[in-house]
Amino acid sequence: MSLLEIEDLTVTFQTGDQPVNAVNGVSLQIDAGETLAIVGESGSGKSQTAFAAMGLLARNGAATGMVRFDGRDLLHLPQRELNKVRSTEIAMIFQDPMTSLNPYMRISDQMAEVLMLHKGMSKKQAVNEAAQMLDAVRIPDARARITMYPHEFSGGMRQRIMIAMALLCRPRLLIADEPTTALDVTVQAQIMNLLGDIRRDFGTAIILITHDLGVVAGFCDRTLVMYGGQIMEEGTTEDVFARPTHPYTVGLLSAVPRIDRDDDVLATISGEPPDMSNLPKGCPFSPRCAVVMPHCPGVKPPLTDFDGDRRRACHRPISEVA
Amino acid sequence: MSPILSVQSLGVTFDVRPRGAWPWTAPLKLHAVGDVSFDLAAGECLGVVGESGSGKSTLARAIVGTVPSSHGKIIFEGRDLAAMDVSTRRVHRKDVQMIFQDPLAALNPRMPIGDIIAEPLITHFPATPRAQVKQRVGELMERVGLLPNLVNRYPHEFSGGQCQRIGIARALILKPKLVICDEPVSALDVSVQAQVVNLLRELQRDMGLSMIFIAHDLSVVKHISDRIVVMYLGRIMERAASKTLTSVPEHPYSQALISSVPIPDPVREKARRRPVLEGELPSPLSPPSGCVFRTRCPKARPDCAAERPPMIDLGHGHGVACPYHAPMQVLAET
Amino acid sequence: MFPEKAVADGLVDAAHLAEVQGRSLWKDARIRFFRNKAAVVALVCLIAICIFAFFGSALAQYERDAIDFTLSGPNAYKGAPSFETGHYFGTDADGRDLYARTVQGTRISLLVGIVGALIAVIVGTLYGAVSGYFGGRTDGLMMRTVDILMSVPYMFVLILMLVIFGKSILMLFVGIGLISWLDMARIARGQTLTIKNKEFVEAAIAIGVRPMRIILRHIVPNLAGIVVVYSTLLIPGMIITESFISFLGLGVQEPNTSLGALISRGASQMQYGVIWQLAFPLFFFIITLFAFFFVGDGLRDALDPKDR
Repeated sequence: MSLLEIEDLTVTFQTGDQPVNAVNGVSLQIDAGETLAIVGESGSGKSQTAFAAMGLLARNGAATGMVRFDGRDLLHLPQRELNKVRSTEIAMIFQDPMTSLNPYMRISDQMAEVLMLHKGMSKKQAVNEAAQMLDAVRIPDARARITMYPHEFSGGMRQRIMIAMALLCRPRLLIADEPTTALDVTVQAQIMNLLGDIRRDFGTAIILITHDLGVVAGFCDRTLVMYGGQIMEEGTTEDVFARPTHPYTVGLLSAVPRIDRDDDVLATISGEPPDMSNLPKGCPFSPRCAVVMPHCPGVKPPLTDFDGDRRRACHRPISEVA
Repeated sequence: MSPILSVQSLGVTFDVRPRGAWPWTAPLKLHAVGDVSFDLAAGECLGVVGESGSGKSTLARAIVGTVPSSHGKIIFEGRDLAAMDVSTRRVHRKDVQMIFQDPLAALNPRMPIGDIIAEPLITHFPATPRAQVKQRVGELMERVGLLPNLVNRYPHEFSGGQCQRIGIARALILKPKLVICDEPVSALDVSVQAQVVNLLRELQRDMGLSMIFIAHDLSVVKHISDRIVVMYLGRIMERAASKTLTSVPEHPYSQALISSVPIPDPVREKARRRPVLEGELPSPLSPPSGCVFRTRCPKARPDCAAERPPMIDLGHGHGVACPYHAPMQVLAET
Repeated sequence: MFPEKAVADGLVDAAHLAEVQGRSLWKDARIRFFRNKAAVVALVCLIAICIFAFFGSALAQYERDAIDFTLSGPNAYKGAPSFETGHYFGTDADGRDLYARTVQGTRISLLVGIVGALIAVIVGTLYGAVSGYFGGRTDGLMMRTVDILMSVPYMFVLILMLVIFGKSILMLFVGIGLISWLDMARIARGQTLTIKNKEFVEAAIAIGVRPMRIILRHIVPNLAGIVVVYSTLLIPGMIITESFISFLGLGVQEPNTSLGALISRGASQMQYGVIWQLAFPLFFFIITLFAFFFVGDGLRDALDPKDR
């Protein structure tokens, strides 16, 4: 059985005029110890999918469908049960470590809070455990520095602290929402290294949500591509990168500048990112698709399996796409 | 041929008041830009890369003039911009323009975009008849890929990519000689980034612009620049042609930086050798003595702390500020 | 099928397209404002009151200073409001038509409020914007001046001025104007500090736009939101100040009157059973204030940008 199974998840937001579907019928799964990348740009719904699974949607958002973790449906769990699952089973780290850490609390207090709440430890035990975890994420001089405040650390350090906090209760699944987007590239390399070590040492499954294809290529076993709230394509990372079968993936891979290549002109995807309040009834990518067919905007392409573990949602046959 | 821009020993230092200090204590000095020298040939595109704290944005602002420099010269077409008084400098502003990082924030939300694009023209040539202004604005909007009939719309009605096009139109309306792009695509989605980068390239080539392109994304910088300069803590570590720098950099920092850039190719990525840079960026309030990179450099020796390493010329415009430089194939697989 | 071609065709057609009207932020705000029912009702009330104040005298059957001796003094209780006599609101203690006087009172009070707010807006905004934009010592000097002026007890100064220079309406306007711009200057300066750091101001500097034009074209329009909201909340404050002064007897002098003066007289006559003398001016006073507050609230909600 998979560790996390999401089935037909739809997330709707009530905004002033009309409801907006940020996520539209998304199904995915991840097994224990696996790393899955959810790739997409703005409006793809990748972050909202994760928030919905964790019960972190904004007040005007509602999720329907099913999110099964270890057999239990998270979407319909009472709040108390959900709180127990969070942090102990599934943990999440966010993009901006400055706003995810409470600037008015010492690190020791913030981290101890997690352990005291979920594991019933005493303050002293909790701080000890937290310091050990900070060592594990390679914060130099952890014991001395644990009593400092978040603003006394650099961005990269704060992200490590966030990761340490997320791992305190040894969750089986870690969801990382754009964890390195706000960081310098050398710091990004350090953090991705760290995540790799965590996967190896703790056996944590990791869902990495990002728009950075380079980071995905170096880290994740499987890749899921989202656009306009729906899944476009899925497969092993190597497969998806080497043999993309969806026009969006093809476009994305050609549009990314690569440091190891000397292209003259970057291939582009025409048009603009989707307006979520005004999506076509059919394929959300159709306004920008280079190989769009007349019925694409009206008829939603079904997500079909092929080649074993791969999936795609496109009306065009694979041979006509790449 | 003499370069269109010659920056010589430029430094920018800010006075910073430590929190809670008495009003009479001397402020601390933040050395945003230490001692930067480089030349830019006419029609060339120079990329400036560096991470946070490298001073690349401050450098851009000093050249454009929105931030005063503390020492050094900015020789543009033979005249030192840094030494000019405010009104003379203002006249020169029409030759040196800037494109900003946050496309929406760089546009006045209460002005229609036609007025925004026309503003440089009206500022420097106030006598231009309205019809001509309108025509010029329309021309530029088409050139950057915007429908001219949108001229009365307001910035918030456009997407990020379109806002950046408006910013580009505004920067180019006076046909400047030098355009400085400060992270122009960082805030954009990948698919839109490619459009804007292509546009900038095209415009640069067509209009013969000299360009300084600042970004932290090395892949983008490599794509658009002829030469690249690598900055760290306010100083230049290495400068070279783009291809050379990204394949065989000589400075240990450049090597770490380029090795850290991920490549969207799973096979190559997993096989790559990657010297990971440890340690933390030192504070620009008290940069390390001697070579500023020595606290994190894998090759650091005791004499690196003694004095600042001079820029060693390796020929073909390749310079490196490290006496222990050695080329490394960074994109090679193990 | 071929989106590029479609786009290209579209561009050709677009060349003939008329210019599209922009949807400015003000328009957005206006739409939001009109969705707020309380604010719209308040706005309607405000407009009604203004019509009353400036055109209401057309309906008056008596001159406002015409004294009806049969209804003055101990006979005042006979001056109840009625339609037949033409005294819609009744008469006051001196036998003058209360309706006409209320119209006049409302007019004066509104004028005081609006003039005061106008002075505050124009002087205060410019002062604050200039101070905030230039920063440094100029800013320090300008703001310390404001601080000093603010710390002077204004009521005391106002009363002193009125006593020394005579109790005229002009003096009242001058006095209120002198106070009203101070708060606005502070607010404008604070906002300017935020706006000055935004990238579009930096862009304007980089283009070479002159400082005064940056202030007028880039900073002030972006201050407008907060200035408008604050002024609608300032007007009631002005009216209350003026009412208090008039209540003390130092404001507008007879035969001129303001709501404050009317309330003052009406209150003093309460025990004689002539409650209408207090009720009508008080009613208008309260409605005016409430209307301004609700409109101000509505404006603030409408203009509250999710930081555009």
